[in-house]
Amino acid sequence: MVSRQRRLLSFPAEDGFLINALLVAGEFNREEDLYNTPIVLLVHGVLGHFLARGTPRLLPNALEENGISSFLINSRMAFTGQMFGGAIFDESIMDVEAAVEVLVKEGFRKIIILGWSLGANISVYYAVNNSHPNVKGLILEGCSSSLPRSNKRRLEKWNSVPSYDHIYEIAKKVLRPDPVTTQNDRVFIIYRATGPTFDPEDVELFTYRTWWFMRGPEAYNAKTEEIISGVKLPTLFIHGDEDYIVGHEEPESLVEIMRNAGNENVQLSFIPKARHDCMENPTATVDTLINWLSNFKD
Amino acid sequence: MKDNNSTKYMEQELVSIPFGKSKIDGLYYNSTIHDEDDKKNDTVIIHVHGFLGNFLDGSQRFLPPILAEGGYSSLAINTRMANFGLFFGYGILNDTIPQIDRVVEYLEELGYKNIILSGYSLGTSIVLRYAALRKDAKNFPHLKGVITLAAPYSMPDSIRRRWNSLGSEPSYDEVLEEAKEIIKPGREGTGHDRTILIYKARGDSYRPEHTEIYTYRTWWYLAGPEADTAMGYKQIAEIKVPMLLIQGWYDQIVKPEETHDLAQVALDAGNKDVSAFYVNAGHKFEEKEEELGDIIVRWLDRRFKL
Repeated sequence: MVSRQRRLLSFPAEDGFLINALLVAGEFNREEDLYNTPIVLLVHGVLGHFLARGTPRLLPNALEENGISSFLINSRMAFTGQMFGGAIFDESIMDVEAAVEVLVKEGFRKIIILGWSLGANISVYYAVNNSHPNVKGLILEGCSSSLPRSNKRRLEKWNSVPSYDHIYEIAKKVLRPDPVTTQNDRVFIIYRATGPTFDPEDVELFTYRTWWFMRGPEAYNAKTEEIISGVKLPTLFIHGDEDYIVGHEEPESLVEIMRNAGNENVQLSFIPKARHDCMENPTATVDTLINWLSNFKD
Repeated sequence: MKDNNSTKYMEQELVSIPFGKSKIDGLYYNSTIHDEDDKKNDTVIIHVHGFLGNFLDGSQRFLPPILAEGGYSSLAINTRMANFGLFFGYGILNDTIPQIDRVVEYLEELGYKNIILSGYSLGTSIVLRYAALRKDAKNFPHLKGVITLAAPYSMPDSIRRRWNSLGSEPSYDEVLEEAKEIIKPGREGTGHDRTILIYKARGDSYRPEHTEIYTYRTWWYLAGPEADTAMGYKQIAEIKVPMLLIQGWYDQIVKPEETHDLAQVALDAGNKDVSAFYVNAGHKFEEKEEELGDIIVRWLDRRFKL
């Protein structure tokens, strides 16, 4: 008998960044059953972490009730990473790689990566670049087709201060001579970034370097629509039917790109009565996931 | 891979303590050390994080396992001031008091009789404020001690001195003038607030690690000249339970004499059990984690060992 588990783990990424993670697993008759059952590796959203409200907080317990284990990581994009310079989008796949390696070493054979919001874009970038054979599928929740375009649209919609184009101009100067190697960086605030006021709840905070690689016009790896054709894994998109942050057309266009590139195992499910966080409708979300995950059971 | 879940000295559990419509997250380290009569120590330490901190980092992370080996359980918590509470306007020091009340109640429900509050840096302002407000032993009988790690004598004074010496941009006085407009009487809860950056607040460059972020409101109640709640020396004079103050001799954020001065205020106010220690370390006690833990365990043993 394998007991129910809630294990806090720490392990380094390739570059030494320390990842904290939480393993949530139910009871299994045999160790073999635990490792043969799909495990969902969950990657959080913007400013998120493994206890953040919504999907990270709610989904693992719901999956456990259905016999599915979860592994939630705090990547370098978690907490205040994007505000103090550590959260470089391109480097975040090292955190996913390290988490996959941990699971593989533990013995898990069927790893499904679930990325929520920003985590979905990270997961795609990982899957395009370096997918371990034990990674069997992707679940992309609230996935934007392009983080830079999404940011530009939003800042223009609310008439942000500074504007997207102005940020880009400043970033080019601050990050001289080369954003990849520069030692220069600064924190900055975007007022009216997520709403019409100057109040704290409507601001976004980045450093120029974290913005450059996640939101800037040259953040190529965050332009998911330009790289997702390289994903050959079975993929499930779940999307809140009432999501006003990422529109329906974004996952629809991503599905089309993947199918046109020859991936026939792509599914899109809209979750009714849910916005950007599908777990606003836990029953529909969990039913959809469990149904899809049943494809990976022996 | 390091499994932080358990050692031979402890079991670890993530807890979410119901608090109104929300929850207080914490990491509970249950020491499995028992005495010769197989009795478990009924003393527990609550650890409160520092600036932008949470229960996964710093002393909140490295101390509990050391204390567990000494027979003491711990609960490291995230308050409203954890992570980015200061950036988005809800990280107000006094609002953490009901949260700690709830955590104390939770630990009492688990059977603990001696509850020790330990804070690190900003967290010392929280625990000193809490202990001062809950000094009535009749109503709060289980609060038995306070530990401060790298405590500023006065958070507002400490921040003003640091910003002035580094030439922060904007200056302390410039932030104060703006904040006065935001905090005007009658504006409470009206949404008048802004997020602000202070460059060169923690070092002499514009780099992110030398930058601080607040809203005017969170700054006012933590760093403003009228932020009495964050003035450790005013709070510590009210506290009569045993106190242990520890600081790094080479602390660049809080001056070493601040711990000395705080201890003196506590003694002058009539607290007969005040101890102060310095370790050969900086603000984060790096590379002196075991030594720090040993000092705390010895201090606890003299007062709370079964």
